[in-house]
This record gives sequence, C-alpha cells and structure tokens, in this order.
Amino acid sequence: MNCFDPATLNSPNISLPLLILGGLFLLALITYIFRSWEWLTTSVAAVITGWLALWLWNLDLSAAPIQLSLLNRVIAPTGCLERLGFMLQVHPAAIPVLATSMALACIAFVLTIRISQGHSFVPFTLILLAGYALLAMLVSGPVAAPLITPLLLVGLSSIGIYILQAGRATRSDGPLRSLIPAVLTFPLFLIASWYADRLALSPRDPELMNIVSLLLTVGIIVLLAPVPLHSAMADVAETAPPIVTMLLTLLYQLALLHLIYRVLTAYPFIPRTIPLEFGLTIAGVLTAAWGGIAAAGAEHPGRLWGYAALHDWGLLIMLLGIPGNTNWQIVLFLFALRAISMLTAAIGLSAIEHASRTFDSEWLQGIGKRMPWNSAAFLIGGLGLAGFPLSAGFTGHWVGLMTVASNDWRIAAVVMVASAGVVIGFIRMARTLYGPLIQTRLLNENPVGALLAFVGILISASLALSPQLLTGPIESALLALSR
Amino acid sequence: MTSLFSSFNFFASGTGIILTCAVAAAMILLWDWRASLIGLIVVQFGAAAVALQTGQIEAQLMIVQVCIIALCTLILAISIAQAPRSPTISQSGNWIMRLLMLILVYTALRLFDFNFSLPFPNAIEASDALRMTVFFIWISICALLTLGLSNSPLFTGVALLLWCVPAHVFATLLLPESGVSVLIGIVELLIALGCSYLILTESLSIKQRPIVSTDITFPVEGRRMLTDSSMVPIGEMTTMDIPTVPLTAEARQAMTGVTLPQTAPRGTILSDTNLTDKPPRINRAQAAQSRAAQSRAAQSGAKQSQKNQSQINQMQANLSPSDSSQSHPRRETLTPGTPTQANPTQADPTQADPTQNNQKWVRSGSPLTRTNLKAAQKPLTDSLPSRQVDQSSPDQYSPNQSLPNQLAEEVQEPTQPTPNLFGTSTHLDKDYINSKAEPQQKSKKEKTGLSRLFNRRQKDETDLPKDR
Repeated sequence: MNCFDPATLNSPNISLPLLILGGLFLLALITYIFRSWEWLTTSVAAVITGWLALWLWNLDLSAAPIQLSLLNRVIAPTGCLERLGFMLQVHPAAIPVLATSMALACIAFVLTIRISQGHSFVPFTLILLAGYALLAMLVSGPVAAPLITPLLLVGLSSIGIYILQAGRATRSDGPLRSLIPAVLTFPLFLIASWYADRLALSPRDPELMNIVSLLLTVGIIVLLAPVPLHSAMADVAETAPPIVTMLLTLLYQLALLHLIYRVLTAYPFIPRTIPLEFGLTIAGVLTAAWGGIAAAGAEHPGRLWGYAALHDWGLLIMLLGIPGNTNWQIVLFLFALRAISMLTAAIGLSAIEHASRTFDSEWLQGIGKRMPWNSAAFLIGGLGLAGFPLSAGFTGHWVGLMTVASNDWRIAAVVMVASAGVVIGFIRMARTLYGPLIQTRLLNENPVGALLAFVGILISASLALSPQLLTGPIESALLALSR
Repeated sequence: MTSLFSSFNFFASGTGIILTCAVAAAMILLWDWRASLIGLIVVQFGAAAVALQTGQIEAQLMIVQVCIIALCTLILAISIAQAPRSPTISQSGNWIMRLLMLILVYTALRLFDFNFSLPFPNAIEASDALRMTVFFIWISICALLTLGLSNSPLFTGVALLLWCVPAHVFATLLLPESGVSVLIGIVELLIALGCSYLILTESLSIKQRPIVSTDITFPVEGRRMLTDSSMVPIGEMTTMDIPTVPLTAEARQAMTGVTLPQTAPRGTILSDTNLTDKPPRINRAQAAQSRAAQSRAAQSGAKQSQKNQSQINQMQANLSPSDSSQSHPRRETLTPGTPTQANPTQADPTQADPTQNNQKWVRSGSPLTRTNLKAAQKPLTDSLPSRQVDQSSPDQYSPNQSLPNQLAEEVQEPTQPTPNLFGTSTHLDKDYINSKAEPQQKSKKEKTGLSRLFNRRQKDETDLPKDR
C-alpha cells in the first residue's frame, strides 16, 4: 500500500487521514487559545465539523483526487498514513462512523453556543474527536487494529475526564468510573492478540481458538459496561454537563459498536466456540432491568436520564447477542433512535440545569411553567429512551422487543416491565417540572432555547411517526461496514 | 540504572517476590496515600526485577517503566499536596475489614488452586513463568481490591496504575518490539493526570463552593478558601444554623456526671469548654492581647467601643482557651459589634471564669469554637450563594450585619428555666421554643441573630411541596 510519508511534506499529495487528524488537532489548538470567546470557538467548530460530516458522508472513495488550490495540494481519499507502527486509512467501513461522530460533535457545538459547557469543551472535544476518528480509520497497528482499540479507549476516556468534570465542585465518581472498563480490559485484548498471532500459525487449534474467544468475549462484555459495571453512566449523567454527557456517551458507544463489529468480523469463530450470545443476553437483561428499576426511584433529573439511557443500552446489548445477520440493522436503528432521544433530552436538560442552578430542587419545582418547551424536550427525550409510544424510541424498542420475544418472550416481558419503571420515573419528574412554581423569580425560557427544544421535539416526533426516514442511512451504513 | 537492578536483584528471588506481594497487600491494609504511592513504586520495581531475570527483556525498557510510575506517583502526590485538607469522601472501612478481605482472597486463592498460567514466550523457563504468574495475579487482585474498596480519585488512580503494572511488564514480554509498551506508558501518564485533576476537584466537592463554575479551571480560588481559615464555606456555616438548645449546669451534670463548681449560680448556661474537670486557663499571650486591645481602646477614648471590644474579648477567652493566639493573627482584626449593655467590670478576660459570668452560650451541632467565631466575622453573603440572600426582604438577613454582632445581641437575651426530659431545670432558648411550637407566629426576638437564620431556613423547608 502506498502510504504517505510524513518526511516528504513537500509532496503534492496529502492523505485524507492526515488532513482530518491534523485539521482537528490544529483546530483544537486554535480554539484552546481563544477558549474564552466561547461563542466564536463553538461556532467555528460547529461549522467545520458539520461540513466534515456532510463531506465524509457523501465522499466517494473511487473518485479522483481532490485538488486543494488554496494549499496547492492534492488530497488522495484512499491514501494512507503510516506512523509509529499505525496505519490509518479512510476505508468504506470507517466513513459512516466518521460522519456520525462529526455530526454528533457538530450538534453538540451548536447547542453549546447557547449554553456553555465550559470554556475548554471545544478544544478537548476536538481532540477526542480526532482520537475517535483515529480509531475508525485504524487499519493496522502494533497489534491487530481491533485489539489495540481498548488501549486507545483508555487514553480517550482519560482525556474525557476533564470535560466531564468541567471544573465543577461535584462528586467525581462518574468521570472516575468511566475509566474503569477500558483499563480493565486492555490487558485481555493484548493477551488475545498474542494468542491470535499464534493462531495464525495453527488456524485449527481449538485450544487457541477457545482462549482467544474467551478473552475477547470477557473483554467485550466488560467494555459494554453492563450491570454491575454500569455506574459510570448514571453518575456522569447526574454530575456532568448534559451535552457533554450525551456526546461522550454516544461517541464511546459508537466506537464500541464498531469495535464489536470488527472483532466479530475478524474472528468469526468466537460465537461458535464461546456462548457470546448468552453472555450478552444475560448482561443486557440485567442492564435493562436495573435501569428501569433504578429510574423508577430516581428523583434527580440527570440521574433519571442516565438510568433511562442505561435501560436503552441494555436492550441494545441484548440485540447484539441475538444470532443472525439481521440484528446489526436493528442495532444500528436502535442506536440512531437512541442518539435522537438522548439529544432531545440533553437539549432540555441543559436548559433546565442552566435555569435551576444545577438542579437545585427548589428551583426545579414548577420550572416547566416557565420553560415549557425545554421541559417537554427533556421528558420526550427521556421517554424515548424507554420506548414510550409517540416518542422517537418507540419503533426501535418495538422492533427490538419483537426480535427478543421471538427467541424468548420472558426476556421481552422483563424489558417491558423495566420500561414501565422508566416511564414512572419520568411521570414523577413531569409532576415536579409542571407542578406549582416555587421560584417566581425564574425567568421565561429563551426564545432560541425554546426553538432548539422545539426542533428536538419535532425530530423525535417525526421519527416516531415515520421511522422509515432512517432506513436509507442505516442501509448505507450497513453496506459500508460490510465492504 | 542497570546496575541498580542488578544490585537489587533480591526482588527477583522468592523472598523478594513475597516481599513485593506483601507491600501490595500493605498498601490496602494501611490505606494511606503515602504508603500507596511508595508501594506503587516498590511493586513496579519488583515487577521489573522479576521480568529482567527472565533475560528476555532489556533493562532500559524496565527503567523507563519505573520512571513512568515514579512520574505518575509524583503527579498524584503533587495533587495531594495541593489539597492538603482533603479527606477522601468515601472511606474504605476500617483496617480490620480490609485485613479480612485480604485473608479471604488469599484463602480463596490457596483453596481453589486455579492451575492458571499466563502465556509466556517459550524461552522463559517454567519456574520463572510460574513465579511471574503468581506474582502478577496477586498484584492484579490487589488492584481489583483497591478498586472495589475505593471511591476516591487517589486510590482509584493507584488501583488503576497497579493494574497497569503487570500489564505493562507482560506486554513488554509478549510483544517486545511492537511499541505497545510505549502506548501503555502514555496511557499510565494520562490516567495519573486525570486522577490528579479529580483529586483537586474532590477537595472542592467536600467544601462546596458558593458559585459553581462550569469551566475547566484548576480550583485555585477554592483551594485558597480551604487553606485560609478565615474563609469558611457553606458546609461549616450551616452548623451555626442548627437549632440551639443550651443546657444548664445541672442538666449537663445529670447527663455527663461531671461535677461543676458550686459557685456557679443556678441556671448558668455553660459552653462546651466548661465541661472539663479542670477550670479553663487563659494563656499569657491571650491575656496580653486582650490587655493591649483594651489599652488601645482606652487611648482612643471611645467608651462604647471599649465595651464592645471587651465583650468580644470575653467571648474569645471562653471559647477555646488552649488555642494559641499566634496561629490566628486575624484575631486582632475583630471589629466591635453593635452597642450592648455589657457590664464593664466583666470585660477583663483574665477574670473569665465561667462561674463568674452569666453568659448564655449557644449549643450548636459543633462546639462554638474560635474558628467558628472567626467564620462568623465574615458577612454571611461571602459564603452563601448570592441568590440565597434577598436583601429586598426586611425579614431576612442583612448582609451588613455580621454574626458576632448578632451573637453579642443574643448574649443579652434573658433565658427562662424550663424543665427538661431529665427532670432538671434547663434553660431552653426561648426563640427556639417559639419557633418549634408556633412556627407561624414570629416575635421580635425571632427576627434577630441565629434564631432568625434558623427560622428562615425552616421556612424555606416548609415552603417545599409536600410530595417532595
């Protein structure tokens, strides 16, 4: 493969990975310098990441190289970058992941223009975005690309700590616990890579296959952070800024789904040698059930949101464990709806947090009377995570439950009961938000904020009524992943 | 450095491995940040020595790993030093519980006999492989135990680094030329940096800041607030708001069995400092300071100010007599309070015998100490969020009036003997009784001092809806 050599910077060709990573790092540096002008940095970052998302989604790798007249360079879309033992390339399977990551970041930046999530949110997020782009574009590394990913995830989780804590004088449990799954699993993947190298020499050795399968199965399940390793999700949602929580959770989980897909593609013997499906199903049921139970008792809006997201994540884990090729389509469908629901909830929650002074109960009571659209966005987004009818997540949950019920109806019943727990939690929260107003000094919601919340609600409602809108993008993503 | 390993090859022997394992266990048992950080370096050194003995690894790589762990511990130690008064929020139980956990894990390992062996290159001898397997498994278990017992950034960071130590050595052995070792080193540094950042913010989560920042800034202001004893955050100020139920000497005697001096008049209300068997003593520095303050007041010719200064000195003398005045230079900056009707003859702090005065001391959740008094010097608006102080309301606290002045006002409030649960006569705070019995009726006394603060807080709580 003809890779780009950084030593030949005078070469007229620039590989696309270098352009993406270098551009993001450069933008991170610039935005860090000007971080106090937050509206400016977030606007610039939103424009650039949005443009990148659209451009990458429409990128045709078979097209001719792109001429950059401004830099007097030519971008080779299929060019690769090799450095420090890593080889990066924009391959077809990476494009959906890259475009989705950029789109999520763009939306987060747009929301941050109105409500600050910390001055350093933009530069740190851009660095994280570069890291996740590196994971998506990684073709090979010091060890096999999927097996080095957990080690890189540790680094990304460590960087994410800063924007999750965001200088807040709150408990640090969430950011701290977000480190644990990746740290615990990277040795398993490294040992598995050593066995996998030996397996290449004797491909039919059942003992080696068993060991590799066991190590990777345990590693994947721990990385998915099911119950009882789930606490980071709820803690982060309680204490971290909502938009940051939404973005980092979705970026991490998207990278995780990509990792699982690559592992199962590279080592197809895993489901045959180890009951991976059984492990994922058990982990998913526990996670979904506990998410519902805990949500029913949660009073803090952030924590309630976190448990609702945990419940939804449990269903997604369960779907990963269903054998067959069609489950990936459902998984991606559910993940897209999950992203929409979390986004809608984050819009409302960030506005509520801003107005209620970090969810002070006195200020939270009756806040829906002054902020009806943002409160509704939070509730609709949260209910979407429970698969409530007429919310974005309803169709995804319905399809997921039908798929699960086709194998075992009892598991579907457990998930249904857990969903009812999440709904109960949000009904109680609705009583609080739309109850009698205590703080009469509370101002009415900002028109721009109300408009954003309305757009979020509109998107959720549209996807609830016409879920086929996602069919095209999901099929394109699946097609790209399968190449 | 290479010779250093050779001179310490004791760590690679059987006894050395046992010693290193014991150090890892001691880290859990002692649960002290110094022991944990030093133990982390020792464990890394031991792991490097064991790996070096196999002869399959270069000494330079192990030196780099030891240096990385040393750097990580340095990063964590600096953060601890930046937040010296930060206790961990979630303690890990007492040492007996941790010892039992270690015994349980060790017994389980001995009983179950896992017969598990880690993969090693063929060049490594079986004895070395077995030794390293036992060593790495024990270190990993200690890391998991620390992780399970800890909820603080420091010990979680130590646990994660401890988990990385065998992984680092192992990856270097298995994949010697892959560069994974470099990546693990970078990741270790990132973990240490992240945890050190969280250590600093943890110190602030204990002492809540009045204004919550949403920026990634290292908490310099908050740290200054913690180190400056004159700035007391909300968490300590609220102890002043706890309902006050002062006890009489008889009631205290009935409860504690401490015999009080017979010269104390009936109904005298004592502070916590009077509960010792020995009468409180006033140190010389304190007395000299009080005299100096009196002489300054006399020279100024402000008679009223002298009265006030004397009264505050008298309060100081009765609060914590054993406290050194040199450690509190701000004491001299006490400002006179509002004019009171204190008796000038009681102004001499050398005569601050608790049996000689009838001051009413307010018993709160924590003893009314000198520190609390200094905290009360600052206007309440310095510690409370600005939105909690509604200056437009006449019933609420005026930020221009400091708490010592209110205390001084309360000193003059008469008290009534009231029978208590012990059958003795107890002087209950009249305002407190009124506020508990008839919270809707507010007297003039309720609008002053601590009672007013308490009532305001109680009112805020009662305003909350019932379903919450």
